[in-house]
Amino acid sequence: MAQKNKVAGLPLLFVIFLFALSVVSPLLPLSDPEKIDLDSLSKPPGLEHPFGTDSKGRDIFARVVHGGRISISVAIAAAFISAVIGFTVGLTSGYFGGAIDTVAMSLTDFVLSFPSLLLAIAITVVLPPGLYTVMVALSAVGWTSYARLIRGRVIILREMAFVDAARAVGCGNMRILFLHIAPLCIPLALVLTGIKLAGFLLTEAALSFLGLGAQPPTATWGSMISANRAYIINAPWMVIFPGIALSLTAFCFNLIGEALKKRHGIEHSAL
Amino acid sequence: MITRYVIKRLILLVPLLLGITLVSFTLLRALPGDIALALAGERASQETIESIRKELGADKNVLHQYAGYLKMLTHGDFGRSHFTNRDVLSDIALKFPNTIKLALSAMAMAVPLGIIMGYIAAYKKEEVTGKIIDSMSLAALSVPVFWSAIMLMIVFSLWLKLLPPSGTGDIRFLVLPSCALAIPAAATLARVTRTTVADVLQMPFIATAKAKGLPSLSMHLHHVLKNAIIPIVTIIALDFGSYLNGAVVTETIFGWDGIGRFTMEGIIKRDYPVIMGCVIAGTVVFVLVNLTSDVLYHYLDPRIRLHGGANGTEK
Repeated sequence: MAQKNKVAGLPLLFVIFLFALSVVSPLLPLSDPEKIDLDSLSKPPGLEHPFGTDSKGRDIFARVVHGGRISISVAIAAAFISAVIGFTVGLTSGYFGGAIDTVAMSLTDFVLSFPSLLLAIAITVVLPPGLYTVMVALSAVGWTSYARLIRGRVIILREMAFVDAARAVGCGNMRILFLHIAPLCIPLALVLTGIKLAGFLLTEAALSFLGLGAQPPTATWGSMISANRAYIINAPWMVIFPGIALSLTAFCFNLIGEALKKRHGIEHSAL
Repeated sequence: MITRYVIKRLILLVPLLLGITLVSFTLLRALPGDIALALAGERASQETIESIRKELGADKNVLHQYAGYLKMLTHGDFGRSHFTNRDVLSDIALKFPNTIKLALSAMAMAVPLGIIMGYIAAYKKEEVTGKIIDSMSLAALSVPVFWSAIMLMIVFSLWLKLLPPSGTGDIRFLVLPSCALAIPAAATLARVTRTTVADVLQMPFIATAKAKGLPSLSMHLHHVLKNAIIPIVTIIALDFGSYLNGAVVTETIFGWDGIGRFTMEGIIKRDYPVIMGCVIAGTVVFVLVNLTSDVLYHYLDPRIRLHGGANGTEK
């Protein structure tokens, strides 16, 4: 156990640092991430601007910090919505079985049969662009793995003696489901969130990159990379730093996810 | 027996396509927004909009429209793009070879690299080498394709000036997008290979093979790889299938004229015939790739017997 803790220790520390940074970033003495400064256009990294400035003279370091705040919150919000939807679907379909189960599982199969990025793109095109749409798109694709995993767990739990005991003392289905079975599934849902967070983060970035995410002037890592793509010849730092921030965060999420997966014995196939 | 199985699966494709086209067709029509309005432009008169609507058949109910679409399909007609007025089927036929080229060359890089790396990682599981390969593959999975694509462009096109940054064309244009796709594919493959090979190495028959002094190479090929190959083939088929459906981001960045970019443009412009055509083509490709891998399973591991059910294979 101690060994496993050590594996995830460093990335966990980094992620906690990122969260802390996101929370306090409005209070930090950073430059305004949306302030246009015509005197320092496309400045390379230096003392005044550690990550350089972009084509409108905005400080890239400030934009990376603020962008991370948005990217990470969107990923977490999407994971939370997915978890709630998938948890409810998995719980009911696993417990009641029969027709409900068939319908719910066909629905997950249907969602899974589409390439997930294209499905998310389709949703972001239909709804008005913005952060909330991205969350909807990510959760519309993301809930299925929760539903499957929770359903699998509930099918095992509902046959256990404590369920019979609860029924014997006169508990109704709803009471058994939500007070007896659901609490036992929550840790599993949390573990799955840890595993899936990197995926949500990267999909959000891909959508932003395609121009379907947060709208300008709001910075997210994906949209910064997309917007600064045109300047890679003379100012590669505009693209390099947001990309490093994004990859490093995803890497830490992935390391934590791997450690969780190992400890809880969750296989790839369930996802 | 195999032929019968394949024919059965291909016949099952018909109801599948009917279901998928019906669902996508209804969903597309149920979307908010009026395609006739979008086509006519902002200043069009009410009459123009009405006439466009009539021309598209959008004034009739959805089932009626769907029946008309199916009738077109039976004549091999996928309709024309609302925006370019080009025949959708011939556009798909034009772009599909590009997507195949990209998918094949990405796989040609990813498969050997991924399998070899995974193999090494499984053998050196407890050593530094194994740990390094492990972290490297996880890192490769954490880097978004659109960023690694741009980094490849910066290094190889702008700094070293070795390769063209974007466009569709001969092999020089193919190298960078294939690399961008191959990096995550090789990483996934390495991870799967590592896990399965490590599992096989634990088996008693490996100890027996070693004990009876079987030459190392023969043991690896006939005992280890043969027993670890099925999950590896599954991952290859999954990746290959999704690349054939179009690597949207990669094709967009490198300006590669394939199915992924075509689908994405269709979705963004709400070009219904294009979206429907891509959905149909995508489903067919996906089923064919799955079918091929199922048949491959049978040849790679004769214990797996094929039968005609919807699930395909059964152990």
